[in-house]
Amino acid sequence: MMHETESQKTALRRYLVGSAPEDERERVEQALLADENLYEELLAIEDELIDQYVWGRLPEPERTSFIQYLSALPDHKERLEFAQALRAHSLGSPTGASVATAASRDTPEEGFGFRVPALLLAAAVLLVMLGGVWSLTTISALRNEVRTNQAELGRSREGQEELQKRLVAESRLSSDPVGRGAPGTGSSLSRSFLLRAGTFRSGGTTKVLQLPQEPALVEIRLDLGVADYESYRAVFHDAQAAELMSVSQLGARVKENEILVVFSVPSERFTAGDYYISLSGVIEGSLSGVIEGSLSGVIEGGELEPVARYDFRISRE
Amino acid sequence: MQQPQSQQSLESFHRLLSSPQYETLRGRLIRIFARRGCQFPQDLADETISRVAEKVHEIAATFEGDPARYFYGVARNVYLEYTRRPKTVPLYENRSWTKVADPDRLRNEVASACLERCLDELDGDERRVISEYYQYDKIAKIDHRKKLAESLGLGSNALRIKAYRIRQRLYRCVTSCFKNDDGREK
Repeated sequence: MMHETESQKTALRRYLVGSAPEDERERVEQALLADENLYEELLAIEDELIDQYVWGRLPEPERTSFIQYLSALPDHKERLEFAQALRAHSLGSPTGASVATAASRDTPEEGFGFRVPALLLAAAVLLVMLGGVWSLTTISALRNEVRTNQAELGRSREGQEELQKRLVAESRLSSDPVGRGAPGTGSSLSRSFLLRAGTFRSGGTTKVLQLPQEPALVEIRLDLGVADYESYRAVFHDAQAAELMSVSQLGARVKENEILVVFSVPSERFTAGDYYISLSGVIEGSLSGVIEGSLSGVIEGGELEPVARYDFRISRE
Repeated sequence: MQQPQSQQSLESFHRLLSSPQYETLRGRLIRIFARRGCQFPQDLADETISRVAEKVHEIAATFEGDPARYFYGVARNVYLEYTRRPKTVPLYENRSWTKVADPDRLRNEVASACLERCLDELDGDERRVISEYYQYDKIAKIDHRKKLAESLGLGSNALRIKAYRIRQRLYRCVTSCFKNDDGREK
């Protein structure tokens, strides 16, 4: 029985990380639909894999395959963020049994990692005030411990930022249908173009984008002027207004006093000719994500409102 | 009196298409499509369920067996149709640029405060499971979990499911707290 459970768990894990052979995959899928308990087991393993990912303990190629799978699930951002919060909590409570205390609630803006140092500092100050039985060396040691813990917290925050970056990069890698062009996969960014708004807001001009013959990533910067929306959707059209491709959940960014929407596109998607990008702002109906932007361009939501049109012409070198 | 086969079958389908089984059926289908690399698996899951729901009376009249098998067959067809559709091309937002307004820090703080608040709502054993089961940076994770299971009088599989259920509750609490912005100090 135990053996059966373990082999079932192994099969579910293989299924989730994409290493199950086709016949096993079909068996798992059929069983998954028929057996509610198995589905709960799968969700439990899913959570464990998310944790392994967040802790950097999921090896390749499982990691890429699992993230590709996870990024397609509607609540992936919330679950990743939750796993990160659990990780941060775990790092901030070395005994593992330590949980929320009144002291921690008093200092919420400092995060989990400051709880223990704050208590240590308070204890040190109290002892000095009561009789000065602690030597300066002891206090110094405590301060060092505080500094160490703060450094640990800093590393934890850096780790989270790094994780966010890795998620974006890996999401791009795993969802790149042409197998090239994503940053970090060997294709370099060869061109960057700034496009200014056309017909919706003001009279525009057609800009010529000269692309290289070889495949490359092209950075497109759309000048917004002002950022009226939390997120944007950009749609590429050809001269006949046919929709070619689109991307959602784009955030406004600022550089050198310009407010822009910035993204990249594989150059090989374009032949020479006229195109335009229609940019819409998304009117958010509700806050759907705990943390915005873990994986880009995956989730759509809210009503769209036209913002601007950017005309351009592609020519080849 | 025994019910006719078609009536039993219809009831089986209706159970699957009604809450709470509907939600898990949809979740299972979403995962199947996601694992097969589909870009919007929830749309395909909804399509699968709609196709069955629209013809449920016809299907129930002739189909014998577990309705889940029927759903799987329809899901396979939906998947095959999906593979024949022209593919959309994802574009990549360049996030190395500075955001106009970066709410991440504030959100992290609210999420952390929510987590603390929700941990407070767990009982002692539950907090212990959450704190100890999901620690991956500690040495000998397997031994650690084995000891935890033994101390709680559970088998390893039962501990996994217990940890999962507690985590689900915690997750729902944190998400709800965050959406209501309850984690912020008033």
